[in-house]
Amino acid sequence: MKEITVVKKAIITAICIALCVVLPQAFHAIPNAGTVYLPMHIPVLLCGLICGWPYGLLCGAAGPLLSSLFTGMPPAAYLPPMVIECAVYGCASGFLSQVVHTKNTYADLYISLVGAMLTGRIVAGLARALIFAGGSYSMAAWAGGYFVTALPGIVIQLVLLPSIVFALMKAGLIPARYPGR
Amino acid sequence: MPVELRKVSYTYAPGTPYAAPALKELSLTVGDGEFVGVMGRTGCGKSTLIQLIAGLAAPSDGQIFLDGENINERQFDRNLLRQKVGVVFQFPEIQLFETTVQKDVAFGLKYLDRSREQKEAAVRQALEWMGFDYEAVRNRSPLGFSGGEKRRLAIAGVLAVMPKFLILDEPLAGLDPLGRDAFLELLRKLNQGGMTIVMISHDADALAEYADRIVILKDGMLFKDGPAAQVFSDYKGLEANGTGAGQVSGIAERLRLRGWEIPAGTIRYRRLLDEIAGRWTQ
Amino acid sequence: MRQLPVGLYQPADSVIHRLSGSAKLLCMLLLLIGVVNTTTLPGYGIWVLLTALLIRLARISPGTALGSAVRLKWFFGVILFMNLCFYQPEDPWVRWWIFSPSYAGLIQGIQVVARVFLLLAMSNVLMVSTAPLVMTDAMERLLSPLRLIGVPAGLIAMILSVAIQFIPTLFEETDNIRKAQTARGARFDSPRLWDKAKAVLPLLVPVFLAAFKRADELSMAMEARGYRGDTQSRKKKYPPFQTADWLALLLCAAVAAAFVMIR
Repeated sequence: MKEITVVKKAIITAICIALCVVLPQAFHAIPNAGTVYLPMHIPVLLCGLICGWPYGLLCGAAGPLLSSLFTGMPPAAYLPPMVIECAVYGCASGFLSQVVHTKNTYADLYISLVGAMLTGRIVAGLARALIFAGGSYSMAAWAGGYFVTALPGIVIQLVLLPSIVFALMKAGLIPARYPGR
Repeated sequence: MPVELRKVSYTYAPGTPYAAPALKELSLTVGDGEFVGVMGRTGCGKSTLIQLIAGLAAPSDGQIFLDGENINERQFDRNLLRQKVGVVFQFPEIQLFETTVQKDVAFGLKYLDRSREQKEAAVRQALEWMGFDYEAVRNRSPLGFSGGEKRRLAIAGVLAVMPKFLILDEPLAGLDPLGRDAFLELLRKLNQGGMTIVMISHDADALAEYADRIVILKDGMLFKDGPAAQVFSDYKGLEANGTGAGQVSGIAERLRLRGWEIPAGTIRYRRLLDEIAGRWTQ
Repeated sequence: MRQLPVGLYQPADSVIHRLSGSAKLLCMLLLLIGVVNTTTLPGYGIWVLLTALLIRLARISPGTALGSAVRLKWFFGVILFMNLCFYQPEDPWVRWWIFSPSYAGLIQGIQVVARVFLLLAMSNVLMVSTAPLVMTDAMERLLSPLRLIGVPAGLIAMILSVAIQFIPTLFEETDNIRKAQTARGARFDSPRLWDKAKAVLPLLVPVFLAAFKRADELSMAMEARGYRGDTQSRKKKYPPFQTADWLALLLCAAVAAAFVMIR
């Protein structure tokens, strides 16, 4: 399978944006799913990993927006920090997967994912502190609390995303990162 | 013991402008060991029927009993339902997800109380039924197979549990003729082994050949229900309903118009051949 | 699940409903700037009155407009408490263990809660009075000047419209997969963290496979028809702003400017 074309990247991005709307709804049936699995982060991270940072950025920015428009979740007032957070995820996972090449697909994936999730959470923590507390509350506390409560989510996504990426490669829907290995 | 629907109604999206009744006070009993073919035009309520029997949706009104127990009661054990009722949905290949064929086919066995050996034997058996060489495919990724093979793998995943009651939704669509016949023969064999089979299909020929009983739904209600030979004999009625009665009934009907005496209930290919051959030798 | 979800949108005939989508979006942004720059309690009082006026003008029931804000009452409680007790430890009413409630903290808490509450209420007015498709069109329109600095606005517009078209299809497909796996005995939940992740794989992996398969088919069809993803896409003609749109923009700009200046 060749390099992914611009058209295919664009359509994959569109699909991932649509999944940002669909997945949180699909997870409704599972108790506490929204806070445990953070279903909207999955397509965003994946879009960055596969299509690169500009597409990841678009997916992260547009995903929460469309979800809010079509399903009312998240409520519009939460959008700014969420859009920022997801945009950073998509952008960072894309950037890292373009830069990191260890010749081992798993290592590349984990490095890109962990890097993206950390950056996203730090930026989101700061953004929330700025928006909700107007800069008057201890920003470090906000960012820290946000990061600690999100740890289980990080662990879960480190299991989910590589599984999805490998399934897509096996099915021949995305090219293998290191062909012939 | 049987599956029984008592005056079951189901409405989609109740209380919204999109509300649409899918089933209206439908009563139906499927006895153990039956091979029932279900027909009806798109939107007649067939898919809803499957979801209700499989417990994936609850009826708006009425009750559903599995072996005498109401499946929508609170105390009913859902795991028992999953174990007893197997469902092959339309395009089942979408449900493959595991890293190996072995794991994917064994997925339904995960929560069942069976030994490792029993589970492995069940997986091997199901794969062989579906025409795979167990040793050759067990460690391959199920996602790397072709479309038709994926469908057979997915069906193997349902058969591995050996449900007492197997529901299939249009399993023949898109199968090549050879695969279709082999699959129907397998269903017959499973049915003779005691498995109750309910097959939804547009393929009147297949149902005429393999099913004992035919149920036809129309607008969420029973339109016909009876032995296959009897239901398919009403050639004109079925054609008018848009369901079709199968080629054999069609040929028999034409021969009758030409003055041949083909007995009613001639719906199977062999039987028709015998009739024609019998005339010939006279 | 077959229909395109409509979110909060409620069709009606009101001054607010009739405004063009992009004008409404801009007004909303202006008002947000105003709210964020409000620093006094009387200022927030004015905002509450303005928001009430908006709700009235849009002919929305207060329940609809404030519903999502009311659901956050616990969050508001916590924020109020945190600010009350920790905001200004220098000059508290009493001092007990780590708590030091103060007047300044109370004021600060009320302001933070009021800010979030107002943002929620106003954005609800926007969402309830604007159909999702109108809204995405408006966003596209506001983004189109980005073309000038090299952002491929045409490509972005195409991506967004494809995404919207896929929402109902993927809803249905996800629902089918969930049902098929449930019938196979899948349990999507588990008490242990590690198993929690594994428990949703039977749902997630097929959903992504199905979605990417559709992406594959669509992109191949588009390429076969000669689409190359350049910015050659349709130049959309947007209807010009009406008097009401300009008036609304002017009013909102004036209000926002006033609050920024007072600060």
